[in-house]
Amino acid sequence: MTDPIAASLRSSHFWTIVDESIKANTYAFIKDGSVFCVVFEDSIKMVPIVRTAEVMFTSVVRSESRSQKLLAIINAQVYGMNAKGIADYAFGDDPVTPEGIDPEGVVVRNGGIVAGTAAPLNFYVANYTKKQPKYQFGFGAAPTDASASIGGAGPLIINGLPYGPINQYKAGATQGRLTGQPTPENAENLTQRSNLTFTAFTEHSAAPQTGITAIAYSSRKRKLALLVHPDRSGAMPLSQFRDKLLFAGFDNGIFLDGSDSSMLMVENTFYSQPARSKDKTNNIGIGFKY
Amino acid sequence: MRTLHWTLLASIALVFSLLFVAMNTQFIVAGGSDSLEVVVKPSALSQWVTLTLFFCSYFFFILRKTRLSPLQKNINIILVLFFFALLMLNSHFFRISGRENKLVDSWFFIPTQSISFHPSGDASQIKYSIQRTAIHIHTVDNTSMTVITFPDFLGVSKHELQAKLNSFGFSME
Repeated sequence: MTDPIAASLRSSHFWTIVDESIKANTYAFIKDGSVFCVVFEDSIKMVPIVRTAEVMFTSVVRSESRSQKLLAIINAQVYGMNAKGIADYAFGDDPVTPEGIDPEGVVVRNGGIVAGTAAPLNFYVANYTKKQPKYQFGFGAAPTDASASIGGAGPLIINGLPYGPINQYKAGATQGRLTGQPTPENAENLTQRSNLTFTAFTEHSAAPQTGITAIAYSSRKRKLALLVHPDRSGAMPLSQFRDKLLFAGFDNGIFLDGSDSSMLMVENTFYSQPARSKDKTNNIGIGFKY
Repeated sequence: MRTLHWTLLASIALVFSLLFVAMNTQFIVAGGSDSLEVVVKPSALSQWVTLTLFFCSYFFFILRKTRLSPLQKNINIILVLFFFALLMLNSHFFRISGRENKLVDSWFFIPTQSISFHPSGDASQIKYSIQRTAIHIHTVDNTSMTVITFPDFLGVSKHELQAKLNSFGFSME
C-alpha cells in the first residue's frame, strides 16, 4: 500500500514533488485535500477493462490489476441500463449481466471497439503509442485509430480552453451569447466555453458533495494525471476542481462517471470504491501501466 | 365482496409502496449511472402522506360496515377517487438527462414525452412558458412538451422545475 503525499495542485512545489516521486517510483501519488491525484509520464499506456461476466465490477478490477500488473485503475464513462439490465437489477442482489448495461461512448482497445455505443455529442480521451502527443482529447466519438480510447466524457479543459455552464469572455470585450458556439468575432475573446454535460453534473442533487473522476494531461510537462474526489468526501464543486487543474498547468481534462460510481485503485489498493448499486452494474474501467 | 376490496386495497398499497421506494432511489430513476441526471419529483413525504390518506379513506369510506344513504355512498366514492388521483400525481417525475441529452417527462417510470438537446449548443433555443398548471417547453424546430405541475407539496413542483430549466440556460418566454 502506497500512502499519498499531501500537496496542493495550486502549490508552486507541485511539479517538483511530481518529478521527484516519478524519478523514485515511476509515478506520483498525491492527495490535495479530498482529491487523490496519480501522475504518470505520458509513456504510460491506457488499458480499458471490460466486465464480461456476471460478477462485481470491483472483483474484475482486483483481478485485472494483479494479472496485468496495472499501477492504477479508475472507473470510466456513464452508462444506462436496457430492459434486460433493469429486469436483472430488480430481482435479487447479485451482479447485473453485462449485456444489460449500455456504456455511453465507445471503448476502443488495440484499434477495435470492445464495448459501448457511440456518443458523438460528448468528449473522449485517446492514447496513441506512436504519435505525439501520446494523449489526445477532443469532442465527438472516441477515435478507433488509437491504441486505446474512451468516449462519453464531459469536458473540463480542452486544448487550454476551460469549460463551464456558460460562455465567458475577456473583460472589456463584447459579450457574446451565453451558451453554444460563439460567433466568429466573439470566439477570439472566449475564456470559458459552455457545455450542458458540465451543467448537468453541477446540478446533480448531491452536488457539490458528489464524487468526481477525471483524466488530465499537461502537454508542457508531458504528464498524465488521474484525479478522483471520492463521493461524499466533502464539497468539491466541479468548477473548483477544474480550476485546480488549470492552476497546475493541465491543458486538457475530461470528467467521467462521478457520484457514487467514482473509483480509484492504486497498486491493488482501493482509495475510492463504488456504491453497491454501481459495483453490480458498471462494466468499464481504465487501467494504466508502463 | 369485502375480500375483493381488501385484495384491491392491499395491491394498490403494495404497487405504490414499491413505486415510491424506486422513485426515491436515484440510480433507478436515472436508469443507470446518475451523475448527469437532474430529477424533479414529488417529495418522499408527499408520496407517503398521500398513500396513507388513500389507505385511510378507502378503509373508512368503503370498507367500514355502516348503512349509508345513496348520497353518502357517492360522496365517499368521490373522496376515495380524489385521494387516488392525488396518489397518481405522485408517480410523476421530470428528468434533465445529461447522459441521454434529453428532457424526459415520465409517469410510473414510463417516459411519455421528451425533447433532445445538444450539450454544446445554444440552450436558449429551448424555450419554456409558465401556464397555470403546466410548463410548456418547445424548441425552434417545434418539438414541444407540456409538463403538468402542481404546488410544491404535490406532484412535480412548478418552482423547482423552473429553477432547473433556468440553471441550464433554457429561456423563459
